[in-house]
Amino acid sequence: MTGKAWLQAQRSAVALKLRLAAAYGVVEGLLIIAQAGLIAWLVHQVIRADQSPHALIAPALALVAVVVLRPMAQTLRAAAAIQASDRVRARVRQRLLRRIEAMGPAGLAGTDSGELAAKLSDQVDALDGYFARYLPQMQVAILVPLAILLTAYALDWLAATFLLLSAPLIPLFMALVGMGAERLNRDQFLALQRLSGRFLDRVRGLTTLRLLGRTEDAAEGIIRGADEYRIRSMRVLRVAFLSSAVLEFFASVAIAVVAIYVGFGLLGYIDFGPAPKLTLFNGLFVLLLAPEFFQPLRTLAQHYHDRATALGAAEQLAELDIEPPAQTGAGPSNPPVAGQPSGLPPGHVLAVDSLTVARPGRGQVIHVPALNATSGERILIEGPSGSGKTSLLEAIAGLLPAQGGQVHRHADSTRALGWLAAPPHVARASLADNIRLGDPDADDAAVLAAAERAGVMEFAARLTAGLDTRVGERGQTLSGGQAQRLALARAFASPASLILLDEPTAALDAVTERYVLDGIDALAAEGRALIIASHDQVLRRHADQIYCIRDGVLEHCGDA
Amino acid sequence: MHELIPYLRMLRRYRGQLALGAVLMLATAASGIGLLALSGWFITATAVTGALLAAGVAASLEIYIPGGGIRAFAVTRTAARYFERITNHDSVLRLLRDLRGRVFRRLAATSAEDRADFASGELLNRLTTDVDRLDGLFLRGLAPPLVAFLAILIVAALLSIGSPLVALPAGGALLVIAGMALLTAWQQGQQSTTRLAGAQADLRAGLIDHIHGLGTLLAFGSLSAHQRRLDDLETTSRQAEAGLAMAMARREAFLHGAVQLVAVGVLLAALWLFHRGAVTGAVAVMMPLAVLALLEPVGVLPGAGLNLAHARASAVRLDDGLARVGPDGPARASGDVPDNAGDTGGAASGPVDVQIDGLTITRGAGARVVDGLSLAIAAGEHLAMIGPSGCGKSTLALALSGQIQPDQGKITLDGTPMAEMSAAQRIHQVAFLTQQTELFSGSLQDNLQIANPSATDADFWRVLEAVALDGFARSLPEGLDTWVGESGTSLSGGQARRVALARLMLRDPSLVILDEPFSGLDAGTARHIDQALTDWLANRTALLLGHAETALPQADRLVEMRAGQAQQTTPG
Repeated sequence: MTGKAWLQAQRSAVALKLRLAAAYGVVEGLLIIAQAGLIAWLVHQVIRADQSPHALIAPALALVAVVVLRPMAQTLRAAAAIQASDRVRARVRQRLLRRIEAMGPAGLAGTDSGELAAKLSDQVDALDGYFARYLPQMQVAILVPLAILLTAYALDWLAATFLLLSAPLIPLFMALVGMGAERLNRDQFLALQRLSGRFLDRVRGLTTLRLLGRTEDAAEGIIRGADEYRIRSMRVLRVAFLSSAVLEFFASVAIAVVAIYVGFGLLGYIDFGPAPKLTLFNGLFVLLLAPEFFQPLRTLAQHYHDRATALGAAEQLAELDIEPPAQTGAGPSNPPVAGQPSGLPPGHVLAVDSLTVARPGRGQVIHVPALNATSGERILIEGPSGSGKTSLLEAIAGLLPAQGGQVHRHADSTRALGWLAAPPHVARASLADNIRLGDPDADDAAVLAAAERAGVMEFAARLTAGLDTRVGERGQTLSGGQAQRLALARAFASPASLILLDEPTAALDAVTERYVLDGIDALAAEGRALIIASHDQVLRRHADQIYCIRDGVLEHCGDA
Repeated sequence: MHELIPYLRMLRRYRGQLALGAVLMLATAASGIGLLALSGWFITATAVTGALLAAGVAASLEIYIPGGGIRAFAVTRTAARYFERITNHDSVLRLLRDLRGRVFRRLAATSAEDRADFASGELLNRLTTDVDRLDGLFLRGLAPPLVAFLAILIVAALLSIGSPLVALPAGGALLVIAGMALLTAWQQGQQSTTRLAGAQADLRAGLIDHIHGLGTLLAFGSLSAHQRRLDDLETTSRQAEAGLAMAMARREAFLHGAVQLVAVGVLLAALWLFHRGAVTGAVAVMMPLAVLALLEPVGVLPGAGLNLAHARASAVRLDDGLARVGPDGPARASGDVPDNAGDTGGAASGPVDVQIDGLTITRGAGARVVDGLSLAIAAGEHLAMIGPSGCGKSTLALALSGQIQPDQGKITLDGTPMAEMSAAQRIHQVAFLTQQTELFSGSLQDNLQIANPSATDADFWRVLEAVALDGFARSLPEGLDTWVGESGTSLSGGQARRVALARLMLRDPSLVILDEPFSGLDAGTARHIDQALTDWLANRTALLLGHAETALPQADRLVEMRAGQAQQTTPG
């Protein structure tokens, strides 16, 4: 789906709100007409009809009422438009999030989660202006000038004709200027893009610049580049600004033309058409309407960039917003991974039977003839990196659909499984919340106990906020060892009967390694089954059974 | 407001151009007021005169001056607006240039450790957003209130033609209304920007966690709990946004209503004055129309207040981010800022011997990444150090190249403590190929030349041949002038690595540190480069870092890094 079509499709959900916003906009336009009419009538009555202002209390009050009602309509319109934008963004974000979840960790492998998150936050928010401002204004910009034109016709058809004639000229001139600006922009596009990216590019490479001793050169380069950017941009802007100047020009000239026409008509210098019948009332009325005729168009022009911004975002969001393909490979003989306890031999936590695992883009990765784990058992899976250890763990966890064969897991609860990823996942949350990912219902005491056992408290106790310290971006950075302890604490907190560990001893300091090895034994002693994927020989001393991967097949290599 | 003072000082340089921009803004507003007020005056005057003429009374009205005035205002409004936009955008872009230069210089003075935060996209994006917001400080924050104030004075002057008794209260009311709109928007901006920015950052962090930790969440069965958390963050963020938008809409509506009520009040007062014979009909009509024309310059005030608050918040954030890292301006605190020290040419002084004694480096939440490490590398020796990623190799290399200060222990090169060396000396002596390949958007030649400004074409081709990129470079239509990096020819990871290696070989250092030099290269290419590297490394001291021995060039000695310390292993 193109960005444009996608954007169009999002409108249906809030069509009513958008129409409501436009309706309030039209009401506001009608109030503007009423206000102009009342002012003109009051002026006419006092100045031309010699009425005493005391006799005009009723119309004066009506004018006050109109002036008070206008901001109300304005507020209601804004509220409807803001709600429409809010609703669209909430819906889009929810739907895209479900799409991403459906892709699963295997489907997301290789994507930058930061970039994806930025799409869900910033790009979705970039739709705001389009729904909150541009779309409602589009209808207002057609209906209100039309209403003003009809009123003007009723008052003086010649003055209305001046307005009508200028109306189609505006888009014409704007388009001509716009085309010129676009051509200029196209010619400069590459240069402008390169120049505008220079600052960020140099900031990213600061380490290299410092190592080479070239930071001052780079600073001067940034300044030179920004100056060239300015000169080139101004070339484009000088033409682009003409298009809004055209609009301004017509709006100003229309007022001037109407004023002079009305003035000369009132003096009796014009014998043509309706001019001899002009009065101060209809003359002033038309004059007050003239700027309002152009105002909705001017506002729309101001919001035009909202549309461009939203279209840019829509291109990217539409790419994400596709139905995930039906998961293949899970044949009818393959029961859901969270298998029934009936499929498990007594005392077993895991039973894998002739399982074949394939990865999107890599084909078949590993075949497992048989792998069983009983409660309290520590199983080590050895194999060099790239041999499919992680894929096997993902398949056991149900994160990667099996191509054939069966995985039976104990399904006593939704929290039957624990996972220590490599590298460990550290959420941008507090240490305590990170541990709670293992069991969202864990109370503070349980979290503290888990933190103690995994050695998290050893460094957390030194932090002023303790376990409430935020980690990750915008918080404390953790070393690899500290992150692994956090992941271990998560496993301790989890009630899981089966825990999968991916390279748990890679890149650790000596103290953390001790915590991890002791942790493995302690978890097993609690009666949990552990599947450990690693090529670190240290782990052999902490395993009950050892399996190896040879030529893509998992084989039993011995009991430890 | 004091946070904005340094940025206001930056404006001083452009005071002429900024003043011109402000005058043009005022001319636009004044022409708009003049156009509507004079038009109203004109048609009322003609109506009165026309009625007298029709009644057979001898009357006359000078029509050419007001007619010409109306046409002149129509043209000046358009022209002033056009040139105002040109002038002010040029000023904004000039300010952007200065701001970028200033922020970059301050960032350049930071140590690699402090800058580690900036490696993440979020902080970098925030940095550019903040810079962009500050460049509009004058145009969108300061100039509109100034112009609105002067426009109100102009309208008050026009009203006083009718009666000072109307001009004074109306002008006062308009000033109060405009001031309130500005002030309340500024106050709300102050409160909401922090809250909104916090809510949005929390949402983004929550989203990253949800996507990045999807496997962990699914496996532990915590997905729905995290979904609920994310929903809360999303709702908070959206509510904060919608709340701000709604408050601004209400404020704008209130402002419009209030100005129009003043206009109605002036209308009724003027009609009453006319009835009393105190003013002519034409003046009586001109008065309320002048007030109505104020809507344009005054209507932007809530936005200006918000922009000012945003600019202030950006200034605070920028200063917070930069204050940690070093002093402002060109003053340098230590010899730690290399500047253009790389320009110092001269021949290498031959290989150095390296002594590392009891080196301890703590990072993050107190983790000893390097823990009491002692190591000696003899002059000309090639030492390989292996260990898994995250074991502290790269941190050691950063210390050895002077990019971070160790917490304990010292490093000496040929007996000179690292801490006592000047930045120029250090850069001249030590070359470090970081694990992360950092190329710059620019031509291929730019990327090489950055290592040695005096290198010739022959040098470029020599090093490109050494990394087996000469064939590729010759095949490019634009050769060395080919643009690489963003919005250019994209190099593969391996090609980029080779450019980084070639860049290094343009230099003549005494100590070379290579961090995973062959990452991303296929075996054949790695062998070719290994040969060239060995030639280049002869007569230099080298520290070769990698996850496995096989991933490194031939070394004289091998140590393994484990638990922050170096352990001797048998030569491989």
